[in-house]
Formats: sequence, C-alpha cells, structure tokens
Amino acid sequence: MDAFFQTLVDRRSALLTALWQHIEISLVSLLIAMAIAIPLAIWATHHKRFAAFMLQIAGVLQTIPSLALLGLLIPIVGIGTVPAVIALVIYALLPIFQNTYIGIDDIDPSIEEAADAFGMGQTRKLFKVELPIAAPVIISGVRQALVMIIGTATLAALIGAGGLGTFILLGIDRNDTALTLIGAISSALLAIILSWLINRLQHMRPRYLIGGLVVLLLGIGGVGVANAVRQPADNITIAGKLGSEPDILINMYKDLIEQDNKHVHVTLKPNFGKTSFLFNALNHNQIDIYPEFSGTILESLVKKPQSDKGLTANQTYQLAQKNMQQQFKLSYLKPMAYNNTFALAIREQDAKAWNVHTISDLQTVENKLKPGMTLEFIDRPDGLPGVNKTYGLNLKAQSMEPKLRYEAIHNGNINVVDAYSTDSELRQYHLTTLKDNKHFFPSYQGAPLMKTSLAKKYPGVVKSLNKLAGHISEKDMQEMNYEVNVEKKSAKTVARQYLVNHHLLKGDAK
Amino acid sequence: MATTVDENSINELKDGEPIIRFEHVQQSFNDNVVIPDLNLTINAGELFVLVGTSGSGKTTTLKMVNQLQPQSGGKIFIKDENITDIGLQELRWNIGYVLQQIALFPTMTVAQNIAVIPEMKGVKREEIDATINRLLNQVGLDPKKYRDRMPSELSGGEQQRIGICRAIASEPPVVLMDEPFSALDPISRTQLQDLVLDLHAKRHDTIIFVTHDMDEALKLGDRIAVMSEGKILQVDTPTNIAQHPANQFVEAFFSQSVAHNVYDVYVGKMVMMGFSVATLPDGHTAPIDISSDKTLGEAFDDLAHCEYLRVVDGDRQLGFINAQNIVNYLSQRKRDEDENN
Repeated sequence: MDAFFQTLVDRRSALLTALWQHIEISLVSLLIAMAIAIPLAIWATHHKRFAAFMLQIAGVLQTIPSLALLGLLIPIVGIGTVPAVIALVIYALLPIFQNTYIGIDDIDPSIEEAADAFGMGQTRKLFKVELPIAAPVIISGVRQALVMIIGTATLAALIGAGGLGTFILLGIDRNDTALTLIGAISSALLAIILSWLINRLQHMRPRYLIGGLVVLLLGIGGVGVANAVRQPADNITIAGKLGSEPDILINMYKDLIEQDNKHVHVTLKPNFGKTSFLFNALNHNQIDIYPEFSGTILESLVKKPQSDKGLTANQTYQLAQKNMQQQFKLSYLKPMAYNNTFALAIREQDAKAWNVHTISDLQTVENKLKPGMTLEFIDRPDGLPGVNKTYGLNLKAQSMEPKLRYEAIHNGNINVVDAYSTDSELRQYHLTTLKDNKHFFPSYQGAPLMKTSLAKKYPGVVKSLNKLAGHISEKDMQEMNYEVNVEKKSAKTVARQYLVNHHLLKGDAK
Repeated sequence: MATTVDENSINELKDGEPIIRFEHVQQSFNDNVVIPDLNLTINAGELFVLVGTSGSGKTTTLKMVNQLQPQSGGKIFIKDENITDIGLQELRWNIGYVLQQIALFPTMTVAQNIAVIPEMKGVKREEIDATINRLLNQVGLDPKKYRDRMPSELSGGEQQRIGICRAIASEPPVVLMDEPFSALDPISRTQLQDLVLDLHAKRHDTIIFVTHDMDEALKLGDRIAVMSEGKILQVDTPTNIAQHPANQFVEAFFSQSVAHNVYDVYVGKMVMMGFSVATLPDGHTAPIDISSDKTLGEAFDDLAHCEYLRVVDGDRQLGFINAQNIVNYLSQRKRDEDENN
C-alpha cells in the first residue's frame, strides 16, 4: 500500500498529463460519435429498413476486438491520437445509435398523432416532443458509450496516443503493480465521475446543456490549437519504448540537443509503445528520433542479407547501420558503450568464491550450479540450449517468472539466472554478469535512429547526439535504471545527473 | 406566421350553415375498402356524433377531417374550400383534436401542454398565460394548483380535462373528439360529458364526436350518424333515431347499446323512445321535476312519492313519465334481449 501511495506522489505530474490526455481522447471521441449517431438515428426513425441495416453494421463493428481494430487502422492512418479516436468512435456508435433510435421509435404513437394533429412541423415535433421524451434513453446510451470509451481508451497507449493506459502498460512492463493499479483505478474513477456528470446533465435545461457542450468543445479545441501554435518550426519529436531505460536516454538526447542548438525545441514522447509502433511512427514522420538496439534492427526490422551469427558488437552495429540506410534511408548514429543483451548472472560473492568471470568458467563449478531461468530463455534456441551447446555445458534450469527468479537467487534457492545486462535488479541484488567470451549472444547496442533527410537538415543535432557515443557502461545503465525503478527518481533528473557528471552538459546536476 | 385561412369566414358562419361536407368520399388501405362512398354534411355550431361499432369507419371519417388519414377518393370541403387546397398546418391549427389515449406530452407541464398551439401561432406570452388560467377555471381545475403539474401526476379524468383545454386553447371553430371518454371511469365520464355540453353551449363551436356508446351519443348529440361497415345508415336527431330507426341494424344497435344495468338507463332516453306522455291526464299532477340525464334508479326514488314525474332538459319540458311507462319500457327491453339471444 505504501508503495502505491509513494508511486502516486512520485508520478503525480505524469498522472495528470495522462489523465488529461485520456479525458481529451475520450470526450472528443464521444462528441464525434454523438454527432454521427444521433442525427443518423433520427433520420433512421423515418427509414425503418435503413435502421435495421445500420444496427447490423454497428453491431458487427462492435464485435471486432479493439486491439485488432487498432492494428487494422495503423496502415491506413498511422499511429497516435487519430486512429485511437477513430476506433473509439466506432465502438461508441452502436449504443448511441441504438438508444436514440429506440428512444424515439418507442414513443407512444398516440403522442406522435397528437403532435401531427396540432399541425407541428417535423423539426418542432423533434425538438419539442420526440427528443425530450427520448432523452433519458439517449442519455443512457451516451453513458454506456462513455464508460466503454474510457475503458477502451487505455489501449490507446499501445499506439502512442498516451492516456492512462501508459501507466498500465508501464506497470505490466516493469512488473510494477502500483503503476498498473494507478492506471486502472484512475480510469475506473474517471468513468464513474463522468457517468455521474452525464446523469446530472439530464436534469439540466436544454439551453444550459447546449451551452455546456459548446464550452467543452471550445475548451478542448482551444487547448489543441494552443498546443499546435506553441510548437516552434524547429520542433523535433523524440520517442522511446516502454520502460525506464529508453526514458532516460531520450531525456539525455533532449538535454544535449537543446544545449547545442538553441533554435531547436525537443518534444519527448516517453513510453510510446513497442518496437514496431515506434519504427512505423518514424517512417511516417510522426516522430523524428528514437533509440534502437543494433540487435533488434538485425533481428526484426531489416531483411537480413547475411547470417549474423558470431558477430562482434561492432560488426553487428555496422551491419545494422548499413542496412537501415539502404533499406529505409534511416541514419543509425554512433552507439553507446553498453550492450543490453541476454546474459547469465551469478551473485558477486559466488563469483569471488568460485573465481568465475566468464560463461566458460562455469564448467569448473557445474556441479554446484542451481539455475533458475525464464521459460522463454529455456525454450528459445538462442537461449539456454544454445549456451549449453556453445560452451559445452549441461545446465538444466528450473523455469521461473522474471521477477521471481531475482528473488530466488537473492534468497539462495538458485544461484544462476538469465538476465538483461542492464536490468536494475542486477544492481539491486548485487549480481554480476558473466562475460560472453564466445560471442554467443547477439549484440544489442543502443543508438539514435532518425531519418537521413533530417540528419542532413540538422547536422548540429547529429553532432550533439554523437556525444553519447562510447559512453554509458552496462554498470552505469544498471545504476540509472535502479535509480528510476527502485529509488523512484525521475528519468529527467537521472539523465541530467549523468550528463553533468561526465561533463557532457554544463551546469549542476539539479 | 400569418394565418391566412378563412378561419374568420368559418367563424362568420351562422349556426346551421354547412361547415364540413363529404362528397363521394372513399377510403381504402392496401386495397381494403374501409369507406366505399361517404356523403355527409355537418353544420356549423352543432355537436355531431358519429356512432358505430368498432370497424364501422367512424374514426376514419373523423381523421379525414384533419387529414391524419387523407381520403383515397372524393372531395371534402371545409365551408366551400376543398380540403386539399388548404395548407395542412393551417387546416390543423384550426381544428382541435381530443384523443382517446389523451396523449398529453409527458415532458411538458399542464400549462405547456395547453400552450402548444397558441405558441406555434405566435400568440403573445401574456395572452397565452391568461388563456391557460381561463381554460383551467372553465374545466374546474384551479390554475394555481394545476398549471405546473406534470401529466403523470394527474388522474385520467383530470388529464382529459387538460386534453380538452389543449384542443380548444386557440379557439378553433371545429373540434374533433375521438372516443375521448371511453377509457375513463363512469363517474369521470359523466362529468366530462357534462363539461363538453357546457363548453359547447358557451362556445357555439362545431364538435364532431366519435363514440361506440349509443347512450353517450343520445346524451350529447344534436344530430347522430349511425355507421356500420363504412356506410352511414341514418343521420338524425336522437329522438328520431330512437323512435324511427331507419332499419333493423339501427334498432338493434340502439337497443343493444343500452346500459347493462337497467338502473343506469337515462330517463331522457325513455322519453325519446316514446315511453312517456306529452301532457298530463286530467286530475293528475307532477310535483317533481327530473332532469333527462338522470337514471331510472333515481326516478324510482322519486316515483315512490308521486305518480308522475316531469322530465326536463334545462328549461325545456320533454314530457311526463309514470311507473306504467317504466314497466312498459322494461318489458320491451326484455323482449329485445330475448330476440337477440
């Protein structure tokens, strides 16, 4: 519980930003859905056959899983807020259309007859008789839509639209329950509060209701316009994948670029999504720069022209850089020192006692080893089976959840684990990684990836980013991840501190 | 919006001049002929009752007057103007309408319901307010208490009183009433029938009243049209219909429609059917007056005290009845019932 409140306090400004994004996406989607569904439903009450058809269509749209819908929209409209809003609008159409249609269609025919017999025109009848009678049903449809939108909008984080989903995704990614809870609870509370507000609206006089809606629209639109206007011409957007490490790196990028290039303004989009989203976003000019790993480029982003088995870190980087340039016209700038790859780790005291520093050294103590590893690592051929084969070992590992294996080795239940070489837990539990002396694991060096055209336009930016080349060791990265994940410092502070300490940035660390 | 209808010329009509005329009117729904050939003239200032069983075409006839169901053939004239030449809105703004389902607008207060038509016509706010108060008083509801109530807070009888106010709020020369009281309890029904007679006497408007209840028709109608299967069998005054039914159907309809309980039969109806004497025999007196809309049950009480009762409709003397007349009426009714079974 303490962890929960501590996280809440630490992240309150990020939470407010996410909350605002969430409200903005949700309300804009809701208003667009209302603007489409309500007039359509009114029209449909005079065209019954069309109504049946529309209900079918809206029903079918609703059955498309939201993830699939987002996925389908990416090739068409890219990533970010637009596809998120489109998906949410599509989901909201059915309840609003259905309730508006039913609300009006269910009106006692004798009341319709009375209105006709008194010589009411269609428009007057609609606003004076039909809509007021149908209002409770329509509003309950709007509420249904809103609750659904707020829930589904958490998925918007997957495609870089931000919102409370960022907290949930980050929580899952970092195995931090407090973050997930904050995201989930805020989203639930938001749904309850807005739903209650809409319920109150029902009892308001129509003229105040319309006035309120106009103010809301102007407010959201105004903030949007203000944001658009505030962005200077030389704006560069830097995004990062989920997690503390990319968050720290992009904060360093920002500090370095803005120090050297006074006319350039950098916008950060931390926790923007997974690899393919960022790569797509870069290719569609929705972001300008993001840090990527050389190994990831060879494994998943480029068509591999040759085998990358047994390459050194430098060879891996060269190959990644060459192919990015040839296949995508993207510049892969100079890499940092650390290699964030798979590794085997043991406790520091064991390393000393056994005198084991490389994976090969494990042979000497094989009978003492009690390995505990993630199921994925045990399973993939480039994981444990490959290690055994390459190093002539015969390790048989117990499979464990990622978080659990660190606790298990800390408690002494096991004494060898698989790890990512920059995991903050390595620092936290005093573990040491073993040198991959036969270069079995592919190399994962981090470096900024950006459009070559942009690199040519801003040579100053490239120069600033290249200052990081050869900096940041694995230990440094572990330390910084530890400070963000465990000590709850902000990525911005940690990044700045490192730059100042290493004389890359002028000024003090505060 | 300017009202260019000859509302004024309709209003200028003297009582008794033709105001609505059906000429060879035909009505059919999907090849199903409901009304084959209707010819009917309704005069200004009369309370005209269309009576018949369900499916007789009486409601359809009514709804052709305000074109809720435009006719499929023939012509309808309002005064001398073809109904199809009058704008639909103008036509309907000048014809009040009272529904069986009452159908007050549930989201509007009593006052807002009554104001619906005057508001559309652009009448000034203060004028509308005054009209609402006047009408509520006329139908026996305290404006202070009722103006701001919602329809759901009213009893059925009160709701239909508002229904009537709403229909006459803009002083339409013609009012259509489609079985307005058939869903009400007997007490409210009687009160509202009296209210309609009272308002009609004050306003001299033309009312077309549809009912399936012959007793209601006899009580309200200046003239009655008996309809069956889309045809008009007889149009006449209540007395003539009672005494000289045009055919067996009218006679049967008339006798079948009497109140199920003999105590509920109207005294006036007995007089119409001829179970009475026009003048008192020598040496007899009729010290007690009984109103024609009182029932036989009430007449029994009075006849316990004297031999003859004088039957009156307001100031008008209709005739005299004694115990013998009642017995004759009852035995006639018994014979009719036996025949029908």
